[in-house]
Amino acid sequence: MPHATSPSPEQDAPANVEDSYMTDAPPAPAEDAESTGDTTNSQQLPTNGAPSTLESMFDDDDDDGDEFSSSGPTKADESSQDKPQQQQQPSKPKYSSPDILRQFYQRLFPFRWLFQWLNHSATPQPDFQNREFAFVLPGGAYIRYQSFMTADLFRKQCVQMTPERFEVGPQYSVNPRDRKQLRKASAFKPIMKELVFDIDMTDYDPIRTCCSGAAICNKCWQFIVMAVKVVDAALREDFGFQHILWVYSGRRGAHAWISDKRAREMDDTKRRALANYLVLTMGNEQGKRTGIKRPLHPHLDRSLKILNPYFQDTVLADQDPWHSPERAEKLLQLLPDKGLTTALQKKWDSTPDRSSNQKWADIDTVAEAGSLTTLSAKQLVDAKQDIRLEYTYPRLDAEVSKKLNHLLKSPFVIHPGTGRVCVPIDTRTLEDFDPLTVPTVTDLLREIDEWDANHGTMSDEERAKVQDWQKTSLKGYVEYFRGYVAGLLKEEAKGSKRGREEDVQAGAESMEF
Amino acid sequence: MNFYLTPPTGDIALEQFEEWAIARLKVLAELEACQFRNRSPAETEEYMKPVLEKYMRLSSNASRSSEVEAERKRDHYSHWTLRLAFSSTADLRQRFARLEAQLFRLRMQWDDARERRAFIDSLAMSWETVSEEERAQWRTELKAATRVWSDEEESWFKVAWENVPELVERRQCLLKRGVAYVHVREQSTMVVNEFSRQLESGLELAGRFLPRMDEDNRLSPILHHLSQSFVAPDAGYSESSSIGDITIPTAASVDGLSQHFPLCMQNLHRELRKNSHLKHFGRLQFTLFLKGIGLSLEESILFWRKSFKLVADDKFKSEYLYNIRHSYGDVGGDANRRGRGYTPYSCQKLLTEAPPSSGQAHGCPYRTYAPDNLIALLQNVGVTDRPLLQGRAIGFSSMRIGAS
Ligand SMILES: [Zn+2]
Repeated sequence: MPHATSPSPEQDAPANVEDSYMTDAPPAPAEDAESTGDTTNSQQLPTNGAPSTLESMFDDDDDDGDEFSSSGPTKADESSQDKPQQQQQPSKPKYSSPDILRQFYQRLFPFRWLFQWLNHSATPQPDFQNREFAFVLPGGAYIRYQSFMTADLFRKQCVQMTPERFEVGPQYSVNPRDRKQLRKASAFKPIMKELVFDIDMTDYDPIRTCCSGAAICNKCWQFIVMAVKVVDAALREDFGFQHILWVYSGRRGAHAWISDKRAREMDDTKRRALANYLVLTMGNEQGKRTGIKRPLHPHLDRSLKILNPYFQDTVLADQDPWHSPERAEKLLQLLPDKGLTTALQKKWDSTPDRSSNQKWADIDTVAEAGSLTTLSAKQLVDAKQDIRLEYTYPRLDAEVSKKLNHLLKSPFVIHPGTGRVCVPIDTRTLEDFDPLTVPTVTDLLREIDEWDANHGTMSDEERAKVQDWQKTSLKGYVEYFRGYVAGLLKEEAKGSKRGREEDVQAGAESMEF
Repeated sequence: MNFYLTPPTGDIALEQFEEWAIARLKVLAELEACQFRNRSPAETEEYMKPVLEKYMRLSSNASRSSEVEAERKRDHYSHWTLRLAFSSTADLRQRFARLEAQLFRLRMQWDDARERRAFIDSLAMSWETVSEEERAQWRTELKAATRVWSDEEESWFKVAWENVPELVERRQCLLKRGVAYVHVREQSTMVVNEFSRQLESGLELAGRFLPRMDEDNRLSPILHHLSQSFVAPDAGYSESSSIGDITIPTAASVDGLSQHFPLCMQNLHRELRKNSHLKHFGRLQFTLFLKGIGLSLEESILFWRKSFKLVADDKFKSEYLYNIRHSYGDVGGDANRRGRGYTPYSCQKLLTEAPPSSGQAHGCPYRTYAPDNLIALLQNVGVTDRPLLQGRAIGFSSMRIGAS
């Protein structure tokens, strides 16, 4: 449905599902569980002076689906619609207790580097100062349009409010806190944000067999690895982006933040174009093929080259997705040749318990034995290629990428469900990244205590030189992030002088009219 | 052809200023009418040729006509006049930009190849021809990306990918580090897109400067008049200007008044009475219409509550009430309240929105109904004139082709 993706200014007739609320309308207050904190803030309208869907503004990060009901319209139709209200209500995990969070923000969170990353400079710029942050407070209140003049003020508010997590939004034309003083609502509009991507395991549930729901293991994590590789390659080789930060989403997914100036300045049209370039619409559950054109576009061809080894190992061997007769049915549906599927069915009926690997090989054996009725040999190759793509190609939650004003959970916050820190992923050692060993906030606080205990003999002076995060397993991640940010700032400094001159010129030209 | 990048600077008489703009307006209105009637590009082209000849003749440079100079001047001035006239609201801007882009496309098709080439070269669009060396290097990729192959000089060119988002979105160009390799057949689409882009940003800029122009009070009445006469774009709504004190409609009087409603609204009213229900878009369209004829919010709620007689009170409250109040701007965000909700839909909007699917009754029956059903509907509402009905059926069946 188009409404969720583009609440365009003039569009006042929402193309919404029948008998639902108008998209323009914020949810009726009674149902708006999110906005109990600062209702005026959360109902304030966003961009282009246009009424727009509250939900479409922020990423509901399906990762957190079980804890939060901030589910946006794009996902609402799928699974999370009537989400049970917190099933383990009584025992809220201790890592979201205000005390733990306060210590985390006070002692561990890398505010300085986060500030520089979003600010693109060491001294405060509108890039940071006019940027929206949204806080999810303990208790679930969702406060939007927070902004900060310096990294330190930002830190202070985090320590004071102890948000369970916070989200990063765009830089606005004016300070978000001043938006209500504007005479014209249309003067308040988003002007810049990193290009972002969200890959979540939920979208892989139809093809993974090892886990389901919120669970992950190292086997299915490989789907995320594959997706990161393919998307990263396309962003670098096809679009020429260089400053790409991959971040573990804290449970079963990954986010990407692209900070190249050219990426930050993209409007919604370009974001949508880029997202759709990367999205591959697959045959749906009924096995109806949408037809991937041949020859394959170079991007798909390159992706397939990256993905082929994973198809053998991750898909066929680890996931074994067509082992049982019911699951094998799915494979048969993807083969558009009656003669072939009948022959395969017969073979598998007489020798049950064949692995996916064997069944995949059976396709060629049976086809070569002459059972193809409608497909040519070449078409069979294509059909098999389509299946490989379907089981390996990245499944992006593309809506997140299409909007300049979409909020996304910040790196380094704690995932409230797992307690794990949303750490950056170094793509140079992507294969080594193990989501299950990412430290939790309670691990980290314990590590500080252990370090202190083990360094009892150290002089106070020496001890003061060591910051708390350096005493923990967060160290490597912070250092990676710091190095990444330094690279970004360096590039930014190179471009900034030239940029300023261009700005002046453009300004002069626009006055002519 | 002209991208209209610089406004005209010479002096012209005020009457001419208006006369030229009105001529252009006629052309644009005809173009829009073609769209409403779902004319194919070929039909539109054929239909528009004499229209343009009559109102906005533009001879080719080669024709040596002594008129060339004057024609260009008219074209240039009238474009900029209308640009000012239509820059005031986003809706007008969008409509104007869309129609001007269509006009531009038509003219580009009619231009001879050499002139088109010269025009494209004159644009500051920085496209670089792909060298023979590169063509050889990326041969397979170029072919796979665009599904065409030609190895002639100038058959491929390079632009920043941001200039061709539509090609990127459909994966119809080759991308290398932010540069899009595009086949020459896409060039005219790109030129038209670039024209639209520049016009849209120009219009937005003009919109911001417009308030200052009000000081020149010789111009502003003309500009105002021009924008008003561009068919009613969106039926205006204000409480003070609704039908008036004599006949303030009430929930109870809607039935009686409905025989005077336009066909689409009569249709919705009949559907509502028949099913005691209307689906979302129908409800929205009808609510806004009732609001437009002066039905107050209280009366409107009463009307819908009574009409949905099969629906329980709490269901009505939880599922329908909010939408009605929202349409009137009684609830919702700041902007919605400030604007007192939505304005009633214009014919133009109903004609261009997505057509209803089964079970839905919104939209314009003249567009969405099959001829037989349309005749039946017209008969039901009291149109019995046989020749008229036949004319409708023929006229509108041809309109339906694209809409169905
Ligand atoms: Zn697993």
